Amino acid sequence: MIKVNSLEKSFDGFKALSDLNLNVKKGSIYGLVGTNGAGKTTLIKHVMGILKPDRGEILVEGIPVFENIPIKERMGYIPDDLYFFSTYNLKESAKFYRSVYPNWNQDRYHHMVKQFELNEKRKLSKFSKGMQKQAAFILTMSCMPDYLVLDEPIDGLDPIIRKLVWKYIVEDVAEREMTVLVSSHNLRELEGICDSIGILSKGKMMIERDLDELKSDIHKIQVAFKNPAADPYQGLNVLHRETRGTVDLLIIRNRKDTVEDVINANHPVIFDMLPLSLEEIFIYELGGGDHEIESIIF
Amino acid sequence: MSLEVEIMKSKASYFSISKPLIVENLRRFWAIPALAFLVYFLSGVFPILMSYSHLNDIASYIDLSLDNQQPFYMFAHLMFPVIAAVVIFRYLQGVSSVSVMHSMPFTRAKLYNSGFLSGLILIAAPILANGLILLAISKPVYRQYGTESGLVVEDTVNFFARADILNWIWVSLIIAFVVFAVSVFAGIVTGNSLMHFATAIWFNFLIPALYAVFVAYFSRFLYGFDTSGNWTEYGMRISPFLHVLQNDGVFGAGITVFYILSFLILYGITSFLYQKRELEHATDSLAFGFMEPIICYLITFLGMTLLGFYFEVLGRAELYFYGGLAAGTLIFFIIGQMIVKKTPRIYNMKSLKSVGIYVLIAVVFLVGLNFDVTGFERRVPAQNKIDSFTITEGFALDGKLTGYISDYPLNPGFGNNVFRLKDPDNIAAAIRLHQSFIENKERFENQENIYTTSVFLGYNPDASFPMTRRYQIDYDFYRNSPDFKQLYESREFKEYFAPANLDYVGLTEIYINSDIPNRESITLKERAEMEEFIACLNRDFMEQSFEDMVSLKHAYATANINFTYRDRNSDMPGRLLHNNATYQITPNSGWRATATADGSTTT
Repeated sequence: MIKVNSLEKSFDGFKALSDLNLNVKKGSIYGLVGTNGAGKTTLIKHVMGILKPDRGEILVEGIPVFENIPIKERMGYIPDDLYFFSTYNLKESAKFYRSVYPNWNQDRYHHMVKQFELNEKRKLSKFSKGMQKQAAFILTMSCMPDYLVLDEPIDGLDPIIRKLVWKYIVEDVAEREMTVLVSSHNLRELEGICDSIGILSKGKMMIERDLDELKSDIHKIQVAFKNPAADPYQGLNVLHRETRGTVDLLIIRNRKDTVEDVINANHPVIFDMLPLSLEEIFIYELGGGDHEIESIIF
Repeated sequence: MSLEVEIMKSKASYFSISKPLIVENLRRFWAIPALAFLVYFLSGVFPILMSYSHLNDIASYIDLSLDNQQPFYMFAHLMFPVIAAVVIFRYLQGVSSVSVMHSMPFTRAKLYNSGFLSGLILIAAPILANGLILLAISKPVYRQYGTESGLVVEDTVNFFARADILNWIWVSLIIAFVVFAVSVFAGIVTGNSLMHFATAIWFNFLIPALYAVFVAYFSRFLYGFDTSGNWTEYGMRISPFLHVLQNDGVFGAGITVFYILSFLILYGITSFLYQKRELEHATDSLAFGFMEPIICYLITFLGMTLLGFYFEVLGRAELYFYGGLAAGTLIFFIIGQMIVKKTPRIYNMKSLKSVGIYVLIAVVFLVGLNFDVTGFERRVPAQNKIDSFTITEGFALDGKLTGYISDYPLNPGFGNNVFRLKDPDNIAAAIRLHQSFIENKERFENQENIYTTSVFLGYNPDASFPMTRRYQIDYDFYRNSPDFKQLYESREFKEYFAPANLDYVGLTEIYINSDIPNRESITLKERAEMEEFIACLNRDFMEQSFEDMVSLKHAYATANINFTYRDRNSDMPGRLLHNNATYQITPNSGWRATATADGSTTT
């Protein structure tokens, strides 16, 4: 498992991460979401042992990851901004990865190259952005990582390749108990694949929950009362409220039965309770769905 | 785990390398040694192969090459290590590359050591390969020269000896390795490849440049400061690249140890800085915040100096100099800030504060020099601290008594054209003379259009750091100085310059000519006559007064002694050279002497 405790990091006086905690369970897929500049990439770079924290610790299987070769040999990383040795093709890169990662699986590499239909001998710098991402994915997955950290992994990939990528990830999680930490702005895609979600804002972890639990605790409600009470939603955690005529539209974070009890006590004439998508949860958790936040959602 | 095991593990980790990474670096950057090999080969080995059947023709070129003074070799020694450092550590200067490389299973020490070792291999390989080829094709090569009787081969010095080739390999490796270590240091403290390249070149000459700048300030402000000799030599010595240009391509044991230690210290400091480097500074100008004022102030200081001295030349007045310093500070501080901040938006309070600090430091520095806070100008050594001293001046000593040529063949004590006086009375006179120069500062600093010369005083000249002073004095002071008189009339002094000390092998002729009209010239050809004449001159000189020795009166006769000698300090110590010493005979039977070498030779 990956555990981050009280992580703090500043860049030239700017606090990028503040008292941040993160827990990724073994064999699970953890989705990291957040606004632009929230600190997702900075957090990921700490998890990969690239950056040294100002304070706090980053543990993988209980061991600090920074400067830890045995742990890093079992970790795979695909950054948003890719890097390959200049002039190298996929085959040459694979040779280098094979010499560095002890769990390198040559059969898987050949299989994936065939499946992704990439030219092994073409210079990687001549590949399109999407093809480079595929190449990075092939190289990383061929290392058979126990921990896979992905920063915007599907950005630039076509829908078919995306499915293929997720298929590989899910299979490895299921078969080898690979642990995945993935950061993405594509919340719809994360919603379908993640076990847990962490929402990051301004360098702080706002929410970190199992996705199912998160979704079961936050509700979109349409309600209308014939004779509304002074405060019919007293005791409920209302994140957002909008009134259209006599109908109230509410986003409430609370247990489903509690919400039902409080609303029903006032005898509503209309009462619809709808599940929220991850995208909606993200919007309302981070400020009630103002336009600025909405605009960054895919 | 025991503490010992932990320490061993930590040491192992600190010096660990990654073989795959080194192999990968060699595969990726093979073009650097390939190109370097071609430069070394085509400028060094190839001309030798082209002239292999008549190598004596290019003996001088081989000598130049193996002394590392051949321009292509020097270009290669500087540029390839710099380029190797820039390309190997380029991954540190990009956001994506630095992340990917540090996410891989390498520690920072492993990345650094592997990169460093890769670089050393890349720059050593072409030098070693060329060295091996040179060793394989080496054969005796002698310099030859033409005489009236034909071409003569000087077969005492082999210019293509294996020892010379091994020395070339060793010296070249030292130069290239030190340049590489400096360049890697530059890469670790900078944040982008352009800055890396520029600072790598700059840092390689920074310390000698700063040294030269400080010497320029000292010589301008400090009365008695001597810029020549040791100061210049020390400045050049700091960089092996510069030092090799001044010493015939050989590094002594002491300086070799200094360069090896410099290399190791740079390696250690850079390794430490790599551990401390904040990777997020990739693409910035500098990777460490503390370097920003240092680099900015260095740029400002060098720029300030440049404009200060430039303005002084333009205006020849104190005000111009300080005006130049102020202008230089303003212009180069702005440039420095823009470079280190990587933005033209530097006009803010922080910059104002920073320039304020710089100005304060500069004012303290200049005021310190103006008021001689270290007491340099007033310092005179105690007599018991002086074992010997040397003195030179241009009225009589330079040219008239010691001759014009660097290897004037006087014996004994003139091997390096530096004579030493050790007599306690002479040491006391030198100290008094020194004191008199200090007391007459006002007189010597304001003299114009009068007959002056530069006097050099060097105490304990054979010590590592001798105390040296240089003053510009006038002839009147010189002629009337009791201390000069004491020195020049002392037995120790006279014995050095006596004509009997002339270290000749053979005497060709002595030609005595008078300026008095209608007097016939006399030519002595008999050895016995010539030796008798020299003995007479010697006796006259031993009895000559200081006043006569340095007088400006016109000589009524000159005696040209033509002789042959061997230049023991040259590359060809066996060669006989023609020389002639010209003694000017004054009316009081004294003489002044000059010696010239006509460069011709004889067998």
